Amino acid sequence: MSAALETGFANLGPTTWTVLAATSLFGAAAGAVGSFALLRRRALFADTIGHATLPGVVLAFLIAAAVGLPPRSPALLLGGAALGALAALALGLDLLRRTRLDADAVIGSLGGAAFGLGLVLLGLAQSRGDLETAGLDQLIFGSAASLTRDDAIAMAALALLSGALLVGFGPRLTALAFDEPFARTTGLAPTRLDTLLLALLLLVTLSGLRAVGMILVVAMLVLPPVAARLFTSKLQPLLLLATLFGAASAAAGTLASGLLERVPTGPAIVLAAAAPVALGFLVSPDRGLIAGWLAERRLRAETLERLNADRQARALHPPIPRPEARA
Amino acid sequence: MTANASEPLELRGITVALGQRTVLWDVDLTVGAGRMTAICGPNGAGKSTLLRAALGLVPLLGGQARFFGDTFPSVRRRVAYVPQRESVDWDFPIDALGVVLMGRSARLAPFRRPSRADREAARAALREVELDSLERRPIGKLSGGQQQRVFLARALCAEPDLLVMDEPFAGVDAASERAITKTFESLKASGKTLVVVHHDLKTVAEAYDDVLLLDGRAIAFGPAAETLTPENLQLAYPGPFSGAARAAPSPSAADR
Repeated sequence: MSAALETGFANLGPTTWTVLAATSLFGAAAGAVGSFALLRRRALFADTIGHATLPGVVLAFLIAAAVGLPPRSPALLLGGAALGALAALALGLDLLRRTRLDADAVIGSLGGAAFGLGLVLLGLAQSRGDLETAGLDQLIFGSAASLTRDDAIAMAALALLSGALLVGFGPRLTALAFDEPFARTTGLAPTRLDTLLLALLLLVTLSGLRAVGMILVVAMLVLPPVAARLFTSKLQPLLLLATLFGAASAAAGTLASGLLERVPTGPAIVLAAAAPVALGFLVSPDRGLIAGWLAERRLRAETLERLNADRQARALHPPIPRPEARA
Repeated sequence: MTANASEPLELRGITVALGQRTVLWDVDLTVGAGRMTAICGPNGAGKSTLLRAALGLVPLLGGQARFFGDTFPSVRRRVAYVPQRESVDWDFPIDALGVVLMGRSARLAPFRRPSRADREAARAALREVELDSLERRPIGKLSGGQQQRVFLARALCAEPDLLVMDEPFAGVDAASERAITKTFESLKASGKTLVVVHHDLKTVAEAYDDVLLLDGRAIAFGPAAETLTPENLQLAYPGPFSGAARAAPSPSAADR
């Protein structure tokens, strides 16, 4: 095993380190943006965004092939992904405004329908023997191994852009997420800020498309802030922890899939991001299973002790045995 | 009291319909500078909606609201709103000082951080409501009364001339009630204007200058002693044996 790892590390070329830096930046941006999305209860929009990139990508590919452009150029595919996601978002927001459907119903149906459309288009494209479709389906589950240096740089740029926007508008997004009526009386515009938040979700999704894939990118927006929330109840530490968890899990997943054959990158990254959540559920000082169990046990013991002392004082009944004795 | 163009708050003919219900019917209110005005009335009388409508948070069907003789957006810096405590999720990951700072940071330009002066103002506001020792505590771990005081401090931090408050005494402990009352007194002493939705009729008469008795429409408005007459109270709070009062035209009565 260790010999395999050693040769694995030896095989990691300079491109791999660039890719590692890029996925880490993506993870950091996802953790930070995801924190605000979660606070504003918009995290699941990322699911629609992710799924709706597929029909956009495949359509862009088909159109480019039809008019004779290089159909697999990264810029073209990213543009297609963005347009697909924007179309789905516009449709979703319009549905929410005009109908009385709940957000979760709209999000669930749109994401699924868009993804179905994407898969059908992909099938059609693949059934044409003359088109070189290999690589398109890599966007579904992600593949860091196939990333070039340019891909990694584009990815890092998108992640950095979303980070910069967050630095600028984070305080406003926080005020809006905490107390919308108050935020409105101070002059903040909820529609514009929510649009910005969706744009940030889109940036992060596009950034993670090649490495993590469109299905799992939503997990990278949700898992790091959920984990961070289990360890702190304050805003700055939460943002810091979520960013850190995102970056670390992206790095760990990328390394794991680079070193171990047949381990796909996206799933490895997401599993690494799930680890601190699982740990937090157990050991979180406020919300963990263990803390809750201990507090309940202490309360029961104290109540029984007080009750028995009271009964003894009044010489009424024999004491109730402690619960441990019954087990 | 005559209407003056530059009164801190002047409502004329406020009419609001929300969903299936006409909530407010042609309500007038004039709040004089430096005065403390209570808005009282039964549940569902539209007290909170009146504040929200005035601040532009709820669409008006008719009427207009003027603040200091102007529209709300052009003078919003002079006005601070304290919503009902139940209107937010207190599990939000932020500490007391963080919430209070929102009173100032929300109006900073993008990419600007709160200055030292902003932080000082936030600390002073927390001192004012006697919570300076808890500034780093997550808000979820504060008592209901302490949460209410944090809300009040967030409004104070913006240094407004007019405070508009929705049920600041609802569900607060005795210590918080004392701290809030003390803050009201010092605000009044420094010439600020307060409009407060208040549910406890017993304490209204002694604490407030004016009272608006509301039940969908304005039943009475003026100095507390003249407003809280048995006849007016009977109109606002019809008891089980007051069929006659119940039959009086009231837009909300039919829905309750």
